[in-house]
Amino acid sequence: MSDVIVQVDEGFKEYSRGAERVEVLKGVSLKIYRGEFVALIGPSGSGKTTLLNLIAGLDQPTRGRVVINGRDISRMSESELARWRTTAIGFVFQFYHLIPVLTAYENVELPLLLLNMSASRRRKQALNALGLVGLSHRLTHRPGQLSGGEQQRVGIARALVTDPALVVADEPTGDLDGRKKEEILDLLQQLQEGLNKTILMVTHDHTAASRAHRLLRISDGMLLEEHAETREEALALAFPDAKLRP
Amino acid sequence: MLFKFINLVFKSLGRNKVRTALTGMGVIVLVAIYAIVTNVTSTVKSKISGGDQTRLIVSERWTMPSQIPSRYVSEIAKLPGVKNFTTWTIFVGFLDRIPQADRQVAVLSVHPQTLREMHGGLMDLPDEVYEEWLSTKDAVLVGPGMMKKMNWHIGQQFTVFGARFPPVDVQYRIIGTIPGGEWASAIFCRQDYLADASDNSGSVNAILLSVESEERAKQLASELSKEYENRQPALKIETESAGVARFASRSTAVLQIIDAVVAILLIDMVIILSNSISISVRERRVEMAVLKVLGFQPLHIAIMIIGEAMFVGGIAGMIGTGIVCSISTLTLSGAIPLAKWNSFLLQFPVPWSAVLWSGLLGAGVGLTGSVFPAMATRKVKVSDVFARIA
Amino acid sequence: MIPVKYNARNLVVRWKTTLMTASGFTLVVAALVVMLAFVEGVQQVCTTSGEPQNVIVLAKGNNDEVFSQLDTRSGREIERTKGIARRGDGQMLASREIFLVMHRHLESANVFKFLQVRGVEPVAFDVHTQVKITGGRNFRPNQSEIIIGSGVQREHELAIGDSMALGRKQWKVVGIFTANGTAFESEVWCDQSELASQFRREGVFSSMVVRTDSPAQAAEVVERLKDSRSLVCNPMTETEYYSKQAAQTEMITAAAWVIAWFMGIGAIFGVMNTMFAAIGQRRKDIAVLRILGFKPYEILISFLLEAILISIVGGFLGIMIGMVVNGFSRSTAVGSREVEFAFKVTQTTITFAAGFSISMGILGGLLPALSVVRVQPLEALK
Repeated sequence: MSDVIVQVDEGFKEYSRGAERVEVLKGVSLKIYRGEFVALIGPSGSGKTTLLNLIAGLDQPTRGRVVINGRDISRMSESELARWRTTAIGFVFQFYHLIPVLTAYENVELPLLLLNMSASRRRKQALNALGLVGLSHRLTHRPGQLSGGEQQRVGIARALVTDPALVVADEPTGDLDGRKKEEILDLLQQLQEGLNKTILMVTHDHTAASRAHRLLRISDGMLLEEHAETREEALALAFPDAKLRP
Repeated sequence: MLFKFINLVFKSLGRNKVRTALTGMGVIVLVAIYAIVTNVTSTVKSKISGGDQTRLIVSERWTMPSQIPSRYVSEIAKLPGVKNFTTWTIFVGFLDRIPQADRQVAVLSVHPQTLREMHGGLMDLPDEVYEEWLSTKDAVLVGPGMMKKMNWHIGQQFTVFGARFPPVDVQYRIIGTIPGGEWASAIFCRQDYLADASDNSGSVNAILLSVESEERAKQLASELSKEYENRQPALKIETESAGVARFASRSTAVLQIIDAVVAILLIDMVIILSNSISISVRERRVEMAVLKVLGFQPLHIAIMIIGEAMFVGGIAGMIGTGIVCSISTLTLSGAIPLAKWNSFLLQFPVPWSAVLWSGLLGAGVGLTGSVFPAMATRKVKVSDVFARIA
Repeated sequence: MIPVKYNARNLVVRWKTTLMTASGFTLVVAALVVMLAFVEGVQQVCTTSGEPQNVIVLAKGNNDEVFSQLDTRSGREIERTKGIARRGDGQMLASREIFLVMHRHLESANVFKFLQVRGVEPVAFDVHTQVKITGGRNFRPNQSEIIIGSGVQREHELAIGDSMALGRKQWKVVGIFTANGTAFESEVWCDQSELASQFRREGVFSSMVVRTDSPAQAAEVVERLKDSRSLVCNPMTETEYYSKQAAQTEMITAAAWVIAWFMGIGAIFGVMNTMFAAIGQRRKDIAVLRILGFKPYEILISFLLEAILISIVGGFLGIMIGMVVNGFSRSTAVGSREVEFAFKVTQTTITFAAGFSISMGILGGLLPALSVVRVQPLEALK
């Protein structure tokens, strides 16, 4: 259980903003192991989205190496990356980003269309994923007919349907409140535990972060002493105003 | 692979129904007028360029209107290689003693025995009508457009008061109608009858020859030109299509303007589609980014957008022309009363095959109009999907 | 009122869409302008060809010189009519003319081309005062000489010194004439009796044109000829004759408008798309405007103005493009003859085109603008 799913070595990322060069990531190194539930936290502009983009294969480092599940993705071409993402990464977004014209079932099936897969197998897999998130009874509803919590479940089912090793979630509960938020976090936790998925979640939210096994704190483009803290210490540092969960 | 995405293409079209409908209707209207206009011009053009090289028109060499002495007719019809012939004489007059411009008619008198063979489109004239034509001296066959315009019925008799002076009145009996198309507004009568009734057996306006082969037709044309060069009157011989072309060339300016308008119609369609597709692409940038994140290649997305445009264009094209064809068919069958606006359809009926062509045209317009907006989706950056969309 | 600046800025910001939508209008308007310029050009030729104090007399039942035949006796009758003017030297201004449409064989292309030939007597130049010899000299009778109009010079690529066959004779071009841009410029003129003998027209002619002192006199002469008991003919003022020839252009005008409106409807759907999208994008703006206290109808008018603004830009460009054809010379069939005409973009055409463009803008903008009223301010701001 200790194999490395995500490995970033000395990751740098620069952007040019006009004539000025801005260094967003300043040599980040990290490892995430199979089955871990990791929260990436940090203030706005700290570089956490950039780091997430690098890990999810949406962007490439200026320098350094990103290895996901044993594959170095830092030098892959854009179209290779796209092909790779379909099966390697599951994405969960804050605003769900479901295709509004497609039904819940069709949204979940969508990534499978990119794979060389028979229609019956697609159907089986999509129904399975929807079953896992508890939406077997909502197959033909379109996103507009679903509540926010339900939409996010569809989003999660879509992330799982290709059976990726890594699920990246960007503020998955950011648009939900109270009970719904807890439900989604419960669901993520179940998946991580039941299916042994590796989850990397970016969040601003204390409740969400407290569900993670491990917290990665990023500030000004650098990870803060990754191994130095316990989860509770890290939470306290990240959310000084929040009461710690018992 | 592509087939799997068709569902998404269709559903995307339903996303903004108003826009899809507006775009579709824009294309429908433009394709409809395109179908009408090009149907007219292509009919005219096919007469000019696609003409049968074995058919010759013999007319007076120098002046118009042409007058050919009848003695020439028998000489020329007997020449070796002439398979068939007819003569054409046009008798212009009014249906009333007091002339009224909208009651003017031109009766085309022809050699009765070769009516069907010498006039394209009359091949299908039923035998019984043809028999009656042969046995009735004052018979006329009238095109459906003319029948409607003058409110005639089969069996009716009418008199044409000749426009020339001294006046000649000729009585006719309608024994049947001829199919629409080229002869939709024609009135055919028998040359032998006209010659008797108008006391003019001396001349005809033109002779039409059908020659056994192209080679022989060419030969005959030069032989005849030479032989009749120094006779009074001299003759000119040209292929039927050259004759049509000569008249059409007088309207070259009009045809060119029409061609320009047709080009503009096409460009207009492309613009309307392109604009609509661009707008919807812009509105769906986030969605496209998400598709890319999920692993869709830029090409997949571009093809889906082009597919949407081609589908709308193709369907709209077929609907537009379908409407025109329906109107055309209904006009021809008499279900729609003939009026100023639709009488040209008798002359230029729009064939149902045009629906297919228009579908292809519409799809082509869709392709042209969507290529650039579809390419623009390449610029959608996947790395923006997390950051910017909030 | 919401300042128009707001709309103008928005159009500039979305310049690609604006331009694309406007270009739909541009094409339609340009097509309309060209089509109407064609009709205007032809009509111009036809209406100016006839001189109001001239009367043209044709054979009974004929409205076209090509088919008309009068004999010498009728000619003498016509000349006896009261009211025909005389030249200084006492010569009666009555011109017997043979008008023939002939087929000229073009060796180079091996095709026949129409050529209009008018056989005249010297008095014709005093009756058709627009005809002026501008190059070379006049023809001499019985020398097989012709003069050609400037339109013939262009269309048939002939020059002074060239000769061509008409009938069995070779005729030599000795002069070139203009006629104020009228239909005569598309004609070849030569000696009447020489033409008659060449084409078996001895003793007959196509028409007789008589000149009177004034348009009113001309009308009187027409009446007298019509009332004549001894003469059966078809007299009319020359102006009327040529205007009738232009009658068929009315059909082209009608077709031009039909085509333009069809295209216009297409463009209207285009602008509706653009405006619906613009309004969709600016729901928040609309909400803010509503909260600031603008009335729904004010916002409606503002968006309608935006559509009209697009149509003005498109229409203006369209008129500009259409204007390019102005003055461009071509020839076309009018009745049985071919005339040289110049495309003519008139003030009326421009006014029509502008009105057309703006009405497309209004029609296209109205429905989307009406949808603005349905925007719920608080809803939209969420």
